[in-house]
Amino acid sequence: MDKIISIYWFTVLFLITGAIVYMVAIFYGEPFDVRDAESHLLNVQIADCFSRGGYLPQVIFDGENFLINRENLLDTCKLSFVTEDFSNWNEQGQYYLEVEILDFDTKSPFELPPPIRIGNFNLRELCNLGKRFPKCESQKIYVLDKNNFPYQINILSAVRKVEKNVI
Amino acid sequence: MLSNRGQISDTSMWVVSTIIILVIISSAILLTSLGGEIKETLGLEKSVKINFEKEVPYKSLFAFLLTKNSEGVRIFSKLSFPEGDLNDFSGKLALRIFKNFYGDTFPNIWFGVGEGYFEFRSNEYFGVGYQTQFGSIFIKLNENKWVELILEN
Repeated sequence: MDKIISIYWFTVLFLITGAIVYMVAIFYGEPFDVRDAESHLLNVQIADCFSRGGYLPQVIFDGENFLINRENLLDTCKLSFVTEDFSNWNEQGQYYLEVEILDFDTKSPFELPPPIRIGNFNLRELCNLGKRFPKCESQKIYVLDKNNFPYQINILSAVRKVEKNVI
Repeated sequence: MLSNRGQISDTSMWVVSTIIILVIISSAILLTSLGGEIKETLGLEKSVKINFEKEVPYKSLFAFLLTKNSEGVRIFSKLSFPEGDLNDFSGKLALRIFKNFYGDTFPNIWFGVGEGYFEFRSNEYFGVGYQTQFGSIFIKLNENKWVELILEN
């Protein structure tokens, strides 16, 4: 009888231990979702790039023309959209960035450069639809040029990277 | 004659206790597997929040202070005078920038001038100023005056 009881005790012990391990694993085993932070940092980087001490820097606006465009935005703002080689990430494109320069008073892009769009455009349509969708953040900044003319810069960034941030 | 009653009650006790243990374990597993909702309720969601939220508004505030009015005087200079405060030009511009740009993220926004030791001047554009522990951006205008932008969730 004692032998049976001790076997039973061990069975219950293993059952409880297994259950606790399983529960901790499913509760805390989820990866950290850093995409909110990543899209926010992208916005901050663009804001830094477009506003130095409240003014548009020379590399963006030389006083007469906007020098920034789709081709040089990443280099000028010291960004790279290259990701680790994981689950075809580089082929799909894990980032999207949109920068729009508007006249602050009229909100018109007239005579201003067209919106700059870089990266995987499909991410824009799927913004913040749920956990397994891209995380996006938009920001607006008020900035002046050297002639003290005010502009509104609209920034939108999207990060996909679902596989490493969500189970 | 030997009786089996003692043995039966002993066995039923073990069976009942096993069932109780199994029920407790399964309900705990069920609860934890619900995961997301419980974590949200307990505030244990695994996401990374960074304290960069005010970086972008700070840039707009800088540009706002450098903006010149129709006389060619910067808002910064106007506000630095002892009697300087938000006027029709700077007050409306501040509303257009701070409320329109950041109002969705920060429902409580106040912008205005302060002086001395935490004395906030109320203004007709943002109302009564207040002291806050979090969420304020502060730029000194001179020895006694400063501008403060409060952005709170």
